[in-house]
Amino acid sequence: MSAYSIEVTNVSKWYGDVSALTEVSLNIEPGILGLLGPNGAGKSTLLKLMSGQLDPSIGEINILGQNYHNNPQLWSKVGLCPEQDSLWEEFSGPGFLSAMLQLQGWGVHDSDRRAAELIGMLDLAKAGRRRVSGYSKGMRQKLRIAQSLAHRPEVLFLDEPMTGLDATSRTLVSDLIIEMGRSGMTVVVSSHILHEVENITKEMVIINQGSLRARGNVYEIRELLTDHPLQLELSVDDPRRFCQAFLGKPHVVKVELVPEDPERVIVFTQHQNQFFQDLPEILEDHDIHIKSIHAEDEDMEAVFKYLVH
Amino acid sequence: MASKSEIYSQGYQKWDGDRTQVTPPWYLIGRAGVQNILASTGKKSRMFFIIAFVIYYFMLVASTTLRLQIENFKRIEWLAGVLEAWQAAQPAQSEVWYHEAFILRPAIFFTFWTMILYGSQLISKDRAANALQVYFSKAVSRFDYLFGKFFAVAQMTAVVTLVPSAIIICVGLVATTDHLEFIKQSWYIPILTGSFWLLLTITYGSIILLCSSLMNRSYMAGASFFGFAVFTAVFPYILGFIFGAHSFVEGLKWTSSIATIGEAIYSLKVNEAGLLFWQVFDVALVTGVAIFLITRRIEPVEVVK
Amino acid sequence: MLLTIDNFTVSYGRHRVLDNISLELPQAAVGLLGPNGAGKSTLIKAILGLLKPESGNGRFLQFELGKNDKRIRQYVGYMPESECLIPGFSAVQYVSYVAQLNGMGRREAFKRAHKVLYLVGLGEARYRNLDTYSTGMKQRLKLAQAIVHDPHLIFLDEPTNGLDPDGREEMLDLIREIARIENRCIILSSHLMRDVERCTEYLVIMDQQKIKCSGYIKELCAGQAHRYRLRVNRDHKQAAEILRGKGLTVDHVSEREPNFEVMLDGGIHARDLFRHLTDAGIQIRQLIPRNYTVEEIYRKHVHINANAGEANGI
Repeated sequence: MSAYSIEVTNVSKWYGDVSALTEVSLNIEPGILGLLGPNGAGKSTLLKLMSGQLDPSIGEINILGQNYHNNPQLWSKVGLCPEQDSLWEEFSGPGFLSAMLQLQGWGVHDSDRRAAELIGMLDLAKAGRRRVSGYSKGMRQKLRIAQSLAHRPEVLFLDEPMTGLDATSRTLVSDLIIEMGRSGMTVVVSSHILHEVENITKEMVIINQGSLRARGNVYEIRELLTDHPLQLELSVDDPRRFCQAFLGKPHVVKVELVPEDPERVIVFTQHQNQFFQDLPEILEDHDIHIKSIHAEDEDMEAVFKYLVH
Repeated sequence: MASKSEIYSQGYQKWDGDRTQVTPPWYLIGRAGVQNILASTGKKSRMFFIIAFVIYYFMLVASTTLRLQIENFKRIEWLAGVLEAWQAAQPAQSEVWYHEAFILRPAIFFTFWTMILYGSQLISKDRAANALQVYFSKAVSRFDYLFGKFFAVAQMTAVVTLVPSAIIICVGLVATTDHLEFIKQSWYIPILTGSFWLLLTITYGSIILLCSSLMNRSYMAGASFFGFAVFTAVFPYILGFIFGAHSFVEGLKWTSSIATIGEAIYSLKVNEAGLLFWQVFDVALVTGVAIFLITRRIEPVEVVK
Repeated sequence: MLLTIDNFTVSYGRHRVLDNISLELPQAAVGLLGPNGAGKSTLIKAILGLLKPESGNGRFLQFELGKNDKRIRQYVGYMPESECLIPGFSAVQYVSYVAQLNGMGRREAFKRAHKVLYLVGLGEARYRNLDTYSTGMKQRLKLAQAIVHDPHLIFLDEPTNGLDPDGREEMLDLIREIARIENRCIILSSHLMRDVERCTEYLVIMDQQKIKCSGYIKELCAGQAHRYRLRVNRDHKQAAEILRGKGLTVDHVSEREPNFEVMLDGGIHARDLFRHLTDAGIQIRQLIPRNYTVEEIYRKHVHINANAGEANGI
């Protein structure tokens, strides 16, 4: 068995004349992966394909080394939290979860216990035995998440898990996802609130126009984007001397001083590795004291912006 | 020398005008209500209404001219015979009688259907679009809002009460042969028509606005108004059957009570004092309850989520 | 002070919806955080002057709260969370109608409606019927109707709801632009702490009908002096060891990311860190004073179900 928990090989999917995904190949290791893309890019289609809700038109998908064809056991290892709002309205929260588990073949007693555990975990206990139809938007969303991970899947797909949640629930759910990733599960999270994904993971896949645009660690991807000079903001004791020292370096394309802040300087470099290699030497040689340094545009938002436009 | 070059800001601009309400909000709300109804009406139905009203108003002009200038019209040879016959069959009536005949029933009929078709949209559309929170986060009080909606109803009922009455009086003033007599007969008619207009607006308005505020869909509101009308027509019969006839029960026949009150206003004469009292009492009761319920339904605190 | 609320208590029946709240808001962009049902919307209603307090009092500009004074609302703008368009209008008609409701003359309202629509980026679409607007445009229109009468305080309730990354960015830019205007304040209520962090300078956290925390974000988030967070380009555990070997206090070595924290005291300069690590071929990619994030402040004040992970029992 390979080290990858999900293997997507040359997958294309089209609905009639409409092509949703073309030639996607992707291997995913255990851990958390953010699946990003603008609306209609094919995120949901990819999630549905990987979770076996849809069959690919061409290509192959293996989960934990197995295929979905004639393989009902695989379903018990995969969980999906869909974007659509579909719950059994007439059940109570715990009743719904327990019924779902019993459908998967769990015993009644185990199901009830697990359901109670999930209700506590997602802070839904306040609702008591109230019917799902009376749940608020956020509670429904949390119930969907609970449903997707109830049967302790090894691979979990979450489509926009944070929609409709309030601040407290957001932190709760992101803690939960981080914990699941740490425990060795494979969790694929799609979202269009990028910094929320960034809080959970630095690994990402960007889909645009139905095919892969980038995959990997956000900092590494940023380093590959040499067309866009990295914008570094520094706080040093003598910005003008600092600028002079760096303007001589070929990888620096622009330096900026900030009139409002006499200690701040912004450096644009096309080759960040080179820049960080030169930095300690220049600080020593020119006797400049540094107080802070950070890049303005190496988060997911910036990478997304550069890649998707 | 001062420079002639300048850069102008196109960003946010403050407004240091006087923050007092020049136009009362209820006026704006009422006007916008009618505007919205007109905008949502299709071209064909708008044409239908325009044509219907042109015919109706023209009929008023024609009939008023004809009956006041009847002596002159008799000089036309081929008309004389018809007019003689008509005069013989129809005894001369006072001005107020003509008003009642030409306005009362058509107005009630028109109001009934307009309320079902258009009045029902007044609040339900706001509810469906979540617009109430816009109103109540602005300098609009509950009174302003409700009064505005009644004002919208009043504009619709004015088309069948105030306008035709004004037409009859104005045409009459021009066409009459005896101005003194005409003024003597009709100086108080604007007051009567005004009262009738208020009666229609308040009674029909309160019920349709209640229906409209209970439903998020205007056709449901219209249907429930129709249901109310049918119910109040049938239910008193059943009540009377069980408990025996009483004027209170009789007065519960909502549409006919309003019509009787309207007749009493125009004829300035009470036929059955006891019955009329209960009719007024019942209609006032229903209206009061309806207005109370509406104010419950459009509580600003509940609305701003 | 823009707004002072003193021991304000409001109940619906037996249900207490604001529990003895005291709050003073300065002339600043304010972020309002809290879970659903924390009392945020009740606070908004109170400031709109729609609630009568059981006890306590409040003052907004020259008006007293709870006196059912609709003049307050001429000075407050409110951008609700849910869609709230009046059907059948075009954008200009809608915005100028709303301005007139607040007491502007007809001509004045029309003029300002045009300006405000340009400001929010709906200039091209201002004569179109509202029914044809996209989510992003409706969101902008909601903002336009909230600011058209030049309120002194603008409530923004979840203004980025339902927007995609680009739309969110544009909306946040707009909010920042409005927040910068002198003497005009915003209160931004959002579930997204990042939005609050980026648009506002003053933070109010509510939970369970009470104010849990309020203050300038700068002050709330100020961490320990001399404590820095570092990110290196590879093997941060080795980097941490090297720095420990030099006698520095290193902690919070992250499992998932190449991060750790280091104390710089006793005459050690940040520059020295670079020197120590260069020899091992490790580059410092980020060095920032360790401040708290808004999320950490929030976690400190609001109870979050702590046993989430362990209960999962995987």
